[in-house]
Amino acid sequence: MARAETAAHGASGDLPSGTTPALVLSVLGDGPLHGYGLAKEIERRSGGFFTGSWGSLYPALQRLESDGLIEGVWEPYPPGGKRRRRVYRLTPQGRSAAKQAAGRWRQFALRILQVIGHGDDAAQPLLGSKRA
Amino acid sequence: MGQARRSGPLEEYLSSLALSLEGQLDPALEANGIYTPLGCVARAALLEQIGADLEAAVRDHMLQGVPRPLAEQRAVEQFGPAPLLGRDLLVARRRDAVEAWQRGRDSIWWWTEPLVPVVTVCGAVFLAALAPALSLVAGIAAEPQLGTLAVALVPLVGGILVGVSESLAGDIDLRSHR
Repeated sequence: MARAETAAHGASGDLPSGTTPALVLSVLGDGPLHGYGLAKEIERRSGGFFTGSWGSLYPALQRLESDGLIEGVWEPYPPGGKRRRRVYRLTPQGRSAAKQAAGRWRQFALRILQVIGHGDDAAQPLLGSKRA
Repeated sequence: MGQARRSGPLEEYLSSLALSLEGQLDPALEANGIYTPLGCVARAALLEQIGADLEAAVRDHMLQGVPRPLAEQRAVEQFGPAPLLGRDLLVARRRDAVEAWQRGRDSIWWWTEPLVPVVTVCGAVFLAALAPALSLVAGIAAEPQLGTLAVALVPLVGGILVGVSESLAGDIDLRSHR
């Protein structure tokens, strides 16, 4: 249904440039996941909005891993099976980076809302609660 | 991966991705001694990882009643074009080298970079050539009575310096072709 709403509004489902690392760190904060699991979780949390180009996750995972913010381990699947998939989890540095990224994006989103939501009835409750 | 199966959208996608990962990111990088294609182990690991995730996506579609060929088609569409993904992966893996190269291109002194090894080798050779004469003069000045000892030391010191300069030149040569 959420996907249908997205399509109905003609919105893009691609992850906006520069947001992927913050989204990945935030989702991994709740537990280890593999690449596809991450994509599905981002889609679920966004109410079905971010559905496109899941491949863009993998370069972000490479960068976060080389920066030491996440670590990937191969795990057999199904458990005990011969095939493997790479599961990622946050490192201690990644945990603190996730908190910082969440704070930055909250501030950023709030400022954007302040600019474009000025006079917008729908945005007023959000802006009001933050001002309070 | 590793097991024989029919050719389908999934296999075609992974083949295309494998080809992209073998490619050179930018010919200008190669001219500067930066080779971006990944090693075979790194390529195999990426293909295994993305192949497994694609299979998981296909399985999800099939659980919703979508036939396998269509499920594979949908899964590869969700992952975006393989050449684009391959290029982004190369950029991510070779970020340090590419960023260093781009920083170099942004600087007005980028053209001096190829000259650095040449100047270093010339300096080393010049020092090696000059060192025997300098050591002789220094030896005689320090101990005129033992001038013969200084003269005897010249070939030894000269040999050591030439050896050091040659190994230094070899290192620089290797680094520039890595």
